[in-house]
Amino acid sequence: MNNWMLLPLLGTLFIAWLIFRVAKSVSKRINWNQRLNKWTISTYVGILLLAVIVYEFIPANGDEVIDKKEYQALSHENNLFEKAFGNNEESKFDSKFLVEEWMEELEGDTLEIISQGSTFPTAKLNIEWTDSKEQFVEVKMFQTNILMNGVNVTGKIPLSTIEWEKDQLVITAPKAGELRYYRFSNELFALSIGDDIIQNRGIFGDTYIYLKVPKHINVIDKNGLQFY
Amino acid sequence: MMFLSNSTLGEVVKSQVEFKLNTYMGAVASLILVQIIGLLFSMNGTGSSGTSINNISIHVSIVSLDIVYIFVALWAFVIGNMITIKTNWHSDFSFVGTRLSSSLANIIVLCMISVFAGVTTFLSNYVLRVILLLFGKVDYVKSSSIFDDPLNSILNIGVMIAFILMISAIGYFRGILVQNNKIFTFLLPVLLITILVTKSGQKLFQYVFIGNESILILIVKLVCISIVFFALSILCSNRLEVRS
Repeated sequence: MNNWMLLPLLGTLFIAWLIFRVAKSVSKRINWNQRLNKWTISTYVGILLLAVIVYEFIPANGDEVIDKKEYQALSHENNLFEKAFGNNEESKFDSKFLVEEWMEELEGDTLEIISQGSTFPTAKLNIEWTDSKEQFVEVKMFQTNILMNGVNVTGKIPLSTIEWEKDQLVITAPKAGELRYYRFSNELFALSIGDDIIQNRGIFGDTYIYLKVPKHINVIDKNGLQFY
Repeated sequence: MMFLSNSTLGEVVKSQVEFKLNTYMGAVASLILVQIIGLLFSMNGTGSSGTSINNISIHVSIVSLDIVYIFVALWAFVIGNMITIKTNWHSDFSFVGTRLSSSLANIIVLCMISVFAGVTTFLSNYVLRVILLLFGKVDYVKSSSIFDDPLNSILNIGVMIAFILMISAIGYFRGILVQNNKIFTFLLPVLLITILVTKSGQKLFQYVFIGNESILILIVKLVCISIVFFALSILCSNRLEVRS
């Protein structure tokens, strides 16, 4: 434990101490009687119990934290896909990750892959070379599971867009955006116990582009997207 | 010495507890103020984590009880300490009792107050949940409630009560020591800081609070520490002078 880690705690304690000092001086000027004290305590306890009941009735339109088993299953699915993608084992791709697929006919013998809209690649790309003598390129786009703090946000992360411009495959990153969530916890964050901490349930999935390109086509990949 | 009636230790302690509970009703009411201030500080979350995927930054604010708890812990320390101040200590002389009965009554009152503080602190999180969900504009993650996970909730309430009890026991012990000798007012903070900055002190701190396999083990440790401090307090209180 670093000694500097104590600073936020000491800071909070100092603020709390200041508040106590102010509260003490204020309370001396207020003449509280027993009846008022009892009334205050009863009302407060009533509000707390009411809050517990009201919370139960608030419609559950929020995302739910997935359990440990489901988290492990999703993580396993991602690992299997990543491995299969890296090894060009198309038959092992999980079809649930497939977003879209199409064929594109090239005019020339060169396919240029361009990534734009982000300083770092927003998609992983792999090429399967085929023996075809035609000019057709088959494109498949996948997105694997994305979890943050145990919340499945896969469908909420926009994908890169793919456009064809004269034998150029242009991958454009989505516009910068933000997703903000509240997650409530019954536990003390500072005392998170055990190895199954929800905060650690994160799976950082990716967008994958799988191309089937005839061998006679020359591919230029300036941004280094190709997964070798 | 002769008395008109002979009371047992249990009866004396019981009457002292009833008296003290009424006396400290105001202190319990002040807990509400402390919790409300803690809740206001918790509105933006007590922890957060974030990452960026596909140009989208994902930010999760975790709303837990940590800040409320720091305030309540400090309150518990003040209450533990307050019980030992002379004006409160002298009120015990209204009863026919001993130092032991008075100490036992104080400990029982602190236990009862700790239970109340632990339960209300846990429940105060739900006030925050309702306010943020009804008036906040941020998406939320449906988190488990008392009814979804009652066993875990009970364990969490237990750990909160045990923590508050331990802090109030430390406060009580500090108060008794200061009543014995004023030099402890300065010695104890120095000792605490020394423990926190030394390696062995940090190891002890980590052994108690961090790396526990289950909440139950933590609760047992906290209760044991509380018992040690209360026992030390009883021993030290026997050395206190009689009322002058």
